[in-house]
Amino acid sequence: MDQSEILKKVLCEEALNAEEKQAHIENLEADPDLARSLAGWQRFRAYMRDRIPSPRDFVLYSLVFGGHAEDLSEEEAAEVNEKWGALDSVIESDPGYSEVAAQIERDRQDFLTCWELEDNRSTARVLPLRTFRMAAAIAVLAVSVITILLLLNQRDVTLQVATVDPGEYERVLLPDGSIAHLNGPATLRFDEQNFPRSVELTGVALFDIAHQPDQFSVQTEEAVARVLGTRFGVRSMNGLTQIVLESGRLEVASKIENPQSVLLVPGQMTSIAQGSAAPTPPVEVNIEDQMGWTGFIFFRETSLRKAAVLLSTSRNIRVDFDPSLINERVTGTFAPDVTAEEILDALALTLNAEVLREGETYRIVP
Amino acid sequence: MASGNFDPGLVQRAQKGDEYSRNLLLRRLSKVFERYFKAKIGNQAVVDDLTQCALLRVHSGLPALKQPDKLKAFAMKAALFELHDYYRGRHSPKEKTYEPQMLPERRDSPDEWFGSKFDAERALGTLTPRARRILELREHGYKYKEIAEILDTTETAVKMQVKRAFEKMRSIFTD
Repeated sequence: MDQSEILKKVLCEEALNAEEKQAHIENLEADPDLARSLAGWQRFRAYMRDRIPSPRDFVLYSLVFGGHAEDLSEEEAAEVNEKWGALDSVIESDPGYSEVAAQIERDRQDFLTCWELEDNRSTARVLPLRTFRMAAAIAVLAVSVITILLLLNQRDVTLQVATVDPGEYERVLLPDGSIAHLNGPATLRFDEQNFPRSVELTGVALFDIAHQPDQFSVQTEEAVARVLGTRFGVRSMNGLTQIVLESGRLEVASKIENPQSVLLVPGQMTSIAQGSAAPTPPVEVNIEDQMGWTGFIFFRETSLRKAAVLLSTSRNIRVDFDPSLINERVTGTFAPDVTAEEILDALALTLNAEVLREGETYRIVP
Repeated sequence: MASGNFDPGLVQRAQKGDEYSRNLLLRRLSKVFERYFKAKIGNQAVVDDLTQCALLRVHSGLPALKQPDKLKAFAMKAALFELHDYYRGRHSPKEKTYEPQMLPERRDSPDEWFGSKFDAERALGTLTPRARRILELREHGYKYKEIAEILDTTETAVKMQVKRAFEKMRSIFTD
């Protein structure tokens, strides 16, 4: 057995197997100097450990050192100030400090990124609340940038493929700032590096398109939808593509040669079957009911009674409200990953109401 | 600055004892912490532990938060304290490098080998700057693999430096 290798493992705190352990013990018994040296090593390591400031002091010191003194409370700043001399002298003599400080800066940045992602996940836009006869309005625009699961196609390094399983939801941030909300099963393909503002979709998605001078296009097997800046849902399944426009303007055409196109205005739907020369004429639809397949909840001047039903159905909970709120109306859009509690909180905020939980039922009361 | 999910109004209501606001705030913060620790650590059991500990820090410190608009910095520090406590704690060797009970002398601690004669500064002086950085980073709680990444080298090379450092110190320990 290689004693040198065992010793290295011991020094680097790696676990020994039974055989190695026995060999190590025998080695220590045969070589008292080695045993003494290991004891000294252990004590030396403890000495080094004791020299290092506590993680808390180190983090605070590093924040100040990194130019983020504003992150500290008055008490923390006073604390660091008091210990500054001692911390400074230890850290000055610690060649590993700069690496750890750099790591703390990265840790800080990573946290702030996570914070922004969560903070922007559901941003409420509260419209004016007049009297109980006026519509209470809220818009929760899910314009989040989240960590996305993008699978890199090995043959072409710039082609990104986002795949979402049935029943799952994923928000994909596109290079131009547009967002595709995939409601599985769905697959989205796009060229990340040379993004031509064009994506290919199979399955169901809702698109929030960043307004830019260039057109944005979504291609399915059957259709191509071109827009400037808008939000619309696409369902492409079994040889049929349905497109519902929620806001903006949208041109939809067949993918065959010399296609005919239709222009949608908000609240209209068209569909196109494989091989068809033209999309069906646009028809008016109820967004609340006709875009539920995107996984989003849409409230458009929706009565609180209907909103409660939509929320109950979508999130599998029971929602009730005080009869005095019967005439209230709400407007808003909620992404699939916004929880029932968050939606209720947004509604309560707008209605100047409260949410009480009574057993399994959430009750909105003035 | 006011912001979507963490506006100061919500923080103030939570500070005043409004249970619904406090629960909502903690629920939202738990998502941030979970996302963060998942990115930093990965292991779900550890992520859950760290998230709970960070939430506890926020929960107990929230009433003393003087500026509700500083929630982000407040939560960030809670997360960093927990993360670096974890790094430091995971280094606590579960298996001692030296196991006195296994030796014929049955000495109880390294202190009994050396008494007050142990000269740590002299031992420190034998280290090359690189070896010292490695050992210091290790005491900060980084794994050898992580140290190798930080120093842009291999884990094997790092461990070899540790062994060399020990070999250089042996003469001091056996004087």
